[in-house]
Amino acid sequence: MTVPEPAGPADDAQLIAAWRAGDEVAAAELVRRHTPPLARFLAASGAREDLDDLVQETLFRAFRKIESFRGTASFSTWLMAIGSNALKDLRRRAKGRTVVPLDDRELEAEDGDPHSLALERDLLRRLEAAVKKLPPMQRDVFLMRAQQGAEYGEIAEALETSVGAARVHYHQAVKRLKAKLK
Amino acid sequence: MNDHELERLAKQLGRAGDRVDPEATARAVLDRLKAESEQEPSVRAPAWTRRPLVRVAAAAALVAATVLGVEQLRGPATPTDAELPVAVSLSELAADELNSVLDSLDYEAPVHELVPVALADLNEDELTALLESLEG
Repeated sequence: MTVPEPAGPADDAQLIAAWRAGDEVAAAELVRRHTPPLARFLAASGAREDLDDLVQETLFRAFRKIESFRGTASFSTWLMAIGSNALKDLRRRAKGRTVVPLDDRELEAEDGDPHSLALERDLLRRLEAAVKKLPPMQRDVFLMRAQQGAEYGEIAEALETSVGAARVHYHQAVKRLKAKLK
Repeated sequence: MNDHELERLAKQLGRAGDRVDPEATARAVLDRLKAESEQEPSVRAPAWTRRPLVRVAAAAALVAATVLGVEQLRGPATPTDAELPVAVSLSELAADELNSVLDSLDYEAPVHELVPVALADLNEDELTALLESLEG
């Protein structure tokens, strides 16, 4: 089956309105647009061999409850909050399974001399491990802010907390990560 | 390490996500949504929601039969088959008939903490509303 292409560029709000009216082309475009950042977020949160399934599950859940999306957070941040819950559910079900080791290719820096590359790789490996050990709320806020560049307001909206609490979670996360990377 | 450096590194996290194919994801998600929307009309209500409805229907049928029987005993002329009512809706029942339907269900009316209300305190409209709420 080929996935329908949209006629022209539209913003998320237009695509969401079109999907609510039953337009599959709009839904396909939303998936294309949001899969890469969502997949990166989930991978950084600890998803591994189940990443494809988790991305699909997140988008499926989001489309099913699209009526509850109020548009006060960005669609992208809202998806990440749903993805974080889907990851929690998956971990609950898969408790006791073996952990897949990190793949070096995921942590590779692109340019630089071999020594800098090795240092960068080591830092990234330690950061990735430290991020996964953060409490879930701190991890979500940190990744949404530092990895995805979201504003505190939309993070707070997506995670159903206050802006002040989101700031606190972020600073707690930064403090812990810096301590781990010393 | 400063905040700027930490954010720079954070942007490089999750590169495994780059392997996820957006086209394949779109196909899979749309297929699941379609499959679900095709299944929806045949989804049956859970058993626990069906049972009270069956009990209400059975009780209403009993009341209807009783009402018919009483009217037949009372009335001088026996109605023809064409004149016999075939069904009685809740709105056609009097307050005492509605009460007997509720009694047959062993239903205890909810009692407010401050203002106790018994079934006998409810008027015809309130009893009808209560029965309709029990119907689901």
